[in-house]
Amino acid sequence: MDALAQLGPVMPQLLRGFLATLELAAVALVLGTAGGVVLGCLYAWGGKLLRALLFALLTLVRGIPLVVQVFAVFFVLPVYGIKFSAMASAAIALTGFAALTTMEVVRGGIAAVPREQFQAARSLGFPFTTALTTVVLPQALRIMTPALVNQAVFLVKATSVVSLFGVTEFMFTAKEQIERTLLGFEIMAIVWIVYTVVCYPMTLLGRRIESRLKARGHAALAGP
Amino acid sequence: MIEIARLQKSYGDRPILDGVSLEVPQGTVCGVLGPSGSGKSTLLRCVNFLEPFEGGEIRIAGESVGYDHRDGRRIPKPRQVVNRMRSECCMVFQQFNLFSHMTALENVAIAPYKIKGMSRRAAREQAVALLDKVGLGPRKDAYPAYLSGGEQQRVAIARALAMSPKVLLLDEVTSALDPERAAEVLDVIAALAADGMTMMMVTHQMHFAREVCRNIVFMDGGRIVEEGGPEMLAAPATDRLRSFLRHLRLA
Ligand SMILES: Nc1ncnc2c1ncn2[C@@H]1O[C@H](COP(=O)(O)OP(=O)(O)OP(=O)(O)O)[C@@H](O)[C@H]1O
Ligand SMILES: [Mg+2]
Repeated sequence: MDALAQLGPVMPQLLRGFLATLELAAVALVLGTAGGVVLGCLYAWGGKLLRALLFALLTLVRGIPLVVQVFAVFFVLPVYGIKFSAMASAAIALTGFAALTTMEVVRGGIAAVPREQFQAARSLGFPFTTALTTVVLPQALRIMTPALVNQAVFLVKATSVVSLFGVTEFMFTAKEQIERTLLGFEIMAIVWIVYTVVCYPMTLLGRRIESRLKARGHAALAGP
Repeated sequence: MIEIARLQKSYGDRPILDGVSLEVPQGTVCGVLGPSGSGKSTLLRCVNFLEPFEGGEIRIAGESVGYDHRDGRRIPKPRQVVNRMRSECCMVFQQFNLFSHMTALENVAIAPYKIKGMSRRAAREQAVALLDKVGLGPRKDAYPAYLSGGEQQRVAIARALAMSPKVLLLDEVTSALDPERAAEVLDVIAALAADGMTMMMVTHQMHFAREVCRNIVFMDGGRIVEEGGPEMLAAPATDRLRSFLRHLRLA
């Protein structure tokens, strides 16, 4: 009972942290996914040089722990006079990471769509981008959905690394409150439940999207 | 309708088409025969401008494909013109290549809707009519994965017809089908020929070629070795065609 009473005043703090996490995750997810789709298309259809550059970046991002990448944005960029607020730095680091890892998913998805599909569209007179958006990408999306959902869930949880750099998101506020109240077990339980509650529906949503994409045809022409 | 003059095409420094010239008058079918690797598909792909070419000229209804010729120089055409010309000269492939995420109806309706600016309703109505024409009215809502090869190929033909092309290019459209399914598709092509559709058709179906083709060209090594009317298949002039036909009969 004592613990519950103590937890009461902690909640508003945790909520604030949680909202910061949501914001961070939303920015990284939306911008990262959009960027990843663009980069994936560039990778699949761009020139050799661009491909080499993107591959080098991807290798870098894959080879370096996420913490170190965030560290780089927080402490190395300022050395070159590029400074952002803590929250912005966190968003930039996570978005960059999301964009490059999504690029790899998108590239794989596009590569899995037979080239003949694109050619058939071109032979009918589809302009390049129309062929891409109506024929290749919808099929690639169906292939990519599981990987993209996985990626999104991972990203939501990965936002917690920026707590190490003093960004007051969920994990950071939780640690702060644990130090203040010493309710380690209780607060960590809350953290666990909240992350699960956020991530589980994402997985379900992914499943839904997957089966919808499988069942329906081209949305633009559906209906009477 | 199609005029090809001294067409030159190579991959790297390997010549694939070496001075191909031929003419397909409006409303006729031209059969293209030849052994594997002789450049038949490449020839059709050049007419559709899926492949650029280095020399010679292709004209469809008098309009030069892919390049403008000014002061003896070849200037690549603007993209919009290339796309428009492709939509007037559609290609049907050996492997059907239907869009796998769309139903038969959507496959046929999508191109007129997306690139000809036809209304959704008109595109769907036209698609239904075309699917009826190729005998697939009842299957219009099926996805390609649930259609037989013959059905898929007929949808592919309907998809090409939906653009009201001036010319249809058919690349071994029955080679992936068993004889019965092939016959379904050949019936559709014969009906189109009777309607006066101008077509270029790569095929190994000699009987069919003899029936529907006004002209037949026999290619080998990127050149036309022999050309003539259907009677040429009964009495080939060159040893090359004679041995090709003999092997085809034995196969
Ligand atoms: N993209 C390519 N790059 C390099 N060489 C190619 C390419 N496409 C085709 N070729 C070569 O061009 C030659 C002609 O090919 P093409 O596909 O036109 O022959 P084909 O007469 O259609 O043969 P088939 O009866 O097997 O379909 C072949 O030797 C082939 O190896
Ligand atoms: Mg071929």
